[in-house]
Amino acid sequence: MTYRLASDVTWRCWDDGCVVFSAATAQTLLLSSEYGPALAAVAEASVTHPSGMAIEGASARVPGADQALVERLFELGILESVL
Amino acid sequence: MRVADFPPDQFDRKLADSGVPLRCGPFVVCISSRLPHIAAGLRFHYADFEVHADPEASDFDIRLEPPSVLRRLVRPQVNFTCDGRAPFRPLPIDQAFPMLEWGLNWVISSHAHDHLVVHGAVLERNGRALILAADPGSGKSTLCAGLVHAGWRLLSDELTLVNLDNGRLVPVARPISLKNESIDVVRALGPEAAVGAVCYGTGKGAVAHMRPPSESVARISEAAVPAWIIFPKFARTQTPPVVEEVGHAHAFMELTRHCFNYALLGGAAFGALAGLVDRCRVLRARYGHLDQILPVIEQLAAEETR
Repeated sequence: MTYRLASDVTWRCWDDGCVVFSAATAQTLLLSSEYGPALAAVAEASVTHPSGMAIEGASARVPGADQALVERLFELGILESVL
Repeated sequence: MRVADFPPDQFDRKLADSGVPLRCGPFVVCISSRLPHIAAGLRFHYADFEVHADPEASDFDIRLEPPSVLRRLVRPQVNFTCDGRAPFRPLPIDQAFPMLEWGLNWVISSHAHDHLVVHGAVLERNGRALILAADPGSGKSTLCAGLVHAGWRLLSDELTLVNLDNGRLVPVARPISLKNESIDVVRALGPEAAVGAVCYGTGKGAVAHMRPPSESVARISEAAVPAWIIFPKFARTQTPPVVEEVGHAHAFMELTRHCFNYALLGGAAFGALAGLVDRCRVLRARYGHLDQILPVIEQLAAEETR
């Protein structure tokens, strides 16, 4: 599966957690800071390749950003899949 | 010209006729009323406020009048309107001044969407601002009054206005709202704590207001840089006080609960709130008496201002 950051999502990470805001749902989520590397990796890839096509595997290159966390972010609507 | 510069009878006539346009921070609020409760309350609590020369320049047209002729005679009431709309049910006429204050809070929090509006007091010392964000009944206003008495500049007792462009805190210094036991606690601080008439039997119990210091009103155009956020909680049994650090992500989440327009502003609010917590040290304070917590805050400010 290839992912990109959902277009309406903004996020920030601090030592004690990551806060993610979706403008579409007006929801704000507090996630543990272990999601930080996954968010950073996907966000960086999303910027570099807005189509999202180059994101596949990006999370695997970042320590701590394992596939399970990426998939959880997808379930939460923070990431969207790119077909 | 300030409210106090008008002879009382002239001020009261102006209030009843054309209205009095008061500068409240970034807003000009034109207040009209024939009620002596409002005239007396404004002359006492807003004595140092600038009366804007042009009533047409007002952002909001506020009126407090009896809802009907009959209501002037039988169980008199007061109605609050803003630009012709009445957002609240009428209240007993002796609650007119508290109603004005509650109404002004509503006006600003419902309309000031060029700012992020947070339910919290703001005070400043040496150019650095402290935000007290708390649920109603947490002792926020009592602590705010205590800090004002200790020399902190009042920016607001109730509404923290965060400039969306630069993150600075915009003053909207108005009277400090006190309830029930806090009225005597603040009066006991000394005669400089100018507490006005007590209004009993409101929905919040006994209510009184403390006049904002002249210096805070004179500096109402000076924004301040946020430095500290405290989530205060008064609990009579909390001895000694407990003060603990709060992580920025958790502080962010807690502050979203206290925002009036976070969802409305969306991404702009997210950015402003993230910038706010980035700039601040965040603490949670539980205390049983003002005397316990005031020195802690003074020490915090002194250490980090050196």
